[in-house]
Amino acid sequence: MGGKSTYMRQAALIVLLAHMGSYVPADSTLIGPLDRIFTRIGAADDLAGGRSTFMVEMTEAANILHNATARSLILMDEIGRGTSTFDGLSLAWATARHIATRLKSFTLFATHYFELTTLAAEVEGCANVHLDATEHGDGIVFLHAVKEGPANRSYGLQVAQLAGVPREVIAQARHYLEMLESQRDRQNGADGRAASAQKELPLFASPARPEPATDELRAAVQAINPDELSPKAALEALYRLRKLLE
Amino acid sequence: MNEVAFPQHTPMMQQYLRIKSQYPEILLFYRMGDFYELFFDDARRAASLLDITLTARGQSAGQPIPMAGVPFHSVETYLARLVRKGESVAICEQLGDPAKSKGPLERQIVRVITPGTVTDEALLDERQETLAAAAARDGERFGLAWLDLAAGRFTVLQSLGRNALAAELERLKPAELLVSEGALGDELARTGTALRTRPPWHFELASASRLLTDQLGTLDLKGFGVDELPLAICAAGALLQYVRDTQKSALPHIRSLHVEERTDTLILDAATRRNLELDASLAGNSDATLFALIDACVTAMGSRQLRRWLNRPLTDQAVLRARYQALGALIDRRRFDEVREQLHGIGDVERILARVALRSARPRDLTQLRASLGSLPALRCGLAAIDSPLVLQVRDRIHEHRDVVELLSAAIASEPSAFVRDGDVIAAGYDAELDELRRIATHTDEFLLELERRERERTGIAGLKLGYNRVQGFFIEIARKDAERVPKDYIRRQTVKSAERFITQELKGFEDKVLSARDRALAREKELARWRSSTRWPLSPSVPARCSGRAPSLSPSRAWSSRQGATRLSSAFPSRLSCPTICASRRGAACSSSPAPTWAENRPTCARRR
Repeated sequence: MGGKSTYMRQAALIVLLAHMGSYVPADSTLIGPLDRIFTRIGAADDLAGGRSTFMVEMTEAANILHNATARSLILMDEIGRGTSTFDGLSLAWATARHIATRLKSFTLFATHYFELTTLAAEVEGCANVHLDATEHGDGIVFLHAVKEGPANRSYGLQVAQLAGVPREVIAQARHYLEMLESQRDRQNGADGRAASAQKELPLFASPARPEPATDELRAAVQAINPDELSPKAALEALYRLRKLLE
Repeated sequence: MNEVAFPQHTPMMQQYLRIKSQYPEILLFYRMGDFYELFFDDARRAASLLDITLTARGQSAGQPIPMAGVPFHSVETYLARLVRKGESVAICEQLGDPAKSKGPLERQIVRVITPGTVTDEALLDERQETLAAAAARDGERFGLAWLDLAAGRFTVLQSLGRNALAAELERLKPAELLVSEGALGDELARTGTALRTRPPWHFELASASRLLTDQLGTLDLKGFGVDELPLAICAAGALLQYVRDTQKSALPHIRSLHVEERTDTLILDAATRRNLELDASLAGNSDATLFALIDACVTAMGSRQLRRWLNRPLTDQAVLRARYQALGALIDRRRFDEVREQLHGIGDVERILARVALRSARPRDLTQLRASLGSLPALRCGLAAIDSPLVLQVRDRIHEHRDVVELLSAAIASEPSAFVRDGDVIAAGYDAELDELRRIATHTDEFLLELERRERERTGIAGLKLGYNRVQGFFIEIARKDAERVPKDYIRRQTVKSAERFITQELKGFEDKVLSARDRALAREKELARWRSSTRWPLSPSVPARCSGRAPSLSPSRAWSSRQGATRLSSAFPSRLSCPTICASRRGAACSSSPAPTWAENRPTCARRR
């Protein structure tokens, strides 16, 4: 409704048009250099393939994390929404951080997890933007305009109302939301760290650095081609790997 | 049905079963007079697929034979429906002459129609390619070959990785994918492509190379840059074998093999392709796609080129800059209006030439080709005014092919019938024998009066008359009193009460001509048509087609401007377009990666428009 997905696709489509040699619908553009476009947008499950929505989502995310480079354009829309809140939040946070610090790809990363907005302060080259909306009485008007800075609130309940969810359900939801918010504020107050609720979460501790040996080990394993190994060579490789660990 | 021993069947059913045993897995359309019939399981399957009546035909081997059929003159619509459902159909025609043969007519499979190898206009989607593809794999490496038979475009690719293969298949969406028996099965089955398993030896390198060099008329494959791509060769060989098996005809329009590299393209994986809804939307609605929005190409060839370009975005900046420049030149003072006007006269030359090569061109194809070639000089002239090296390069590759235009103008009637079998296809004045035959067939009376007048003059017998009866045929009747003045070449046929009846060699010849003139005119037309399609065209099938295809796809800007406000979606596009700047290095982009100015400037334009 806000136009977040549209905005993201627009970026990819403009890039694509430019790369087929077309003019693009923009006042001006500065693109690339790019080698690949990755998207993690759709939310279709793969019933025939026996994969859940979340599994599909993670497969696509895995592909992106493995293959993206500093020249890739990545669109990620609400990664982690297919699982429980904390699981999803942790995954989204780790994914965003990995992309921003390691891959350094050109990325649009959409999320509803407010906690992720701190990333902009922590990581260079990272910025928050949001799509604007104003409340109009009980309802909401989407302005379809991108503004700087994180969104200060979300409009889930208003959209639900717009979509025709029964009033009593909305009323109950509103009640519950207020309860949750006050509960959170109370906790934060007790801890004396009200300003940054998200710091509560252990996942915002600095990420575990891989041990130096791990990279070496990874390289060694990658160098092995199982198809070409004789049994003896395989055994030797095993010893070598074991030694790397020590 | 094969377990039923043939001797129990009628001779015709024996013939049917013999032919059917060569194509056990696909539907067999067996020509019987004015119908194509299907029998046994084929009949049951076709009846449910096509919603036609399932009947039975007599008895053979003690059982009624299930039968279903379609009339020959509307076979195309049925074939189109079957092909769309992914079915292949073998067409079995009567070859013998019904009047002369005893027992069942000689019949033969003349071609096999498969979803990926169709070339008939009625079976193709005008603005989309129909591809047959083959894949060969060795570990992580794979070779992929695909062929647009209806355009003669044959391409291969060799690369690494399952994801890459899936991405390429998502891009190409081949109507059929050939794989070696037991080689790639399960994994590819999930991509939703119609798989055809082919015997492993079709994928062998040596035989594949041999087949390809034979087709392309070269000693080796070095010239095409594929000699280092064994898996691509294997796939291409298997594909060519399949197409040859189905077409049962030479494929003279396949003359080169093009190699694609994944490295010079902006890579999109299969999921991204689907998510971005480039030319197929997730909901299956082809209108809500980027392609539908930007495709305003005048010609079908242009649309197909545009689709190929959209599906294969390039990273080569020189190529892209040339295209931007060409677009700029076309947009400048709306010069594209004139070019578009000139392109209106161009038919689907690419596909027409493929049909000419496959000898399945229809008379209308040839008139379209004639009209298309006829509008090339104007197009060349129009393109010359465009200030762009790329456009001029395209222009230089357009030849006018005057000899072909002349031949077509002389040989093909201005408005020929739909089929050669209906006659009136070859133009008057092209072939003396045909003209004579037609004249006789349509102007018998005139000829007789003319002959009568001439004979009277020659013999000086004023009472000389021409007559006709069923027994004698044509004759010259002369009163008995004039009998001694009859020239020596008159042959007496009959004596009646007061007259003698004669024939002459000329009259006899005329009689033969008249009686069979129509048949012979038709036969002569067919002969001429055959000669015509077997003549080697002084025309490279691909060049004019691709050139005229490219020009229209260079003016997508039209889409933005003309469709403004037509749909909700397009109203979101600004009326102003700009030429994108693609950076050569990441540093170039770095200036914009400081977020503040960029985000604000690039906010979606629809917001501003409201």
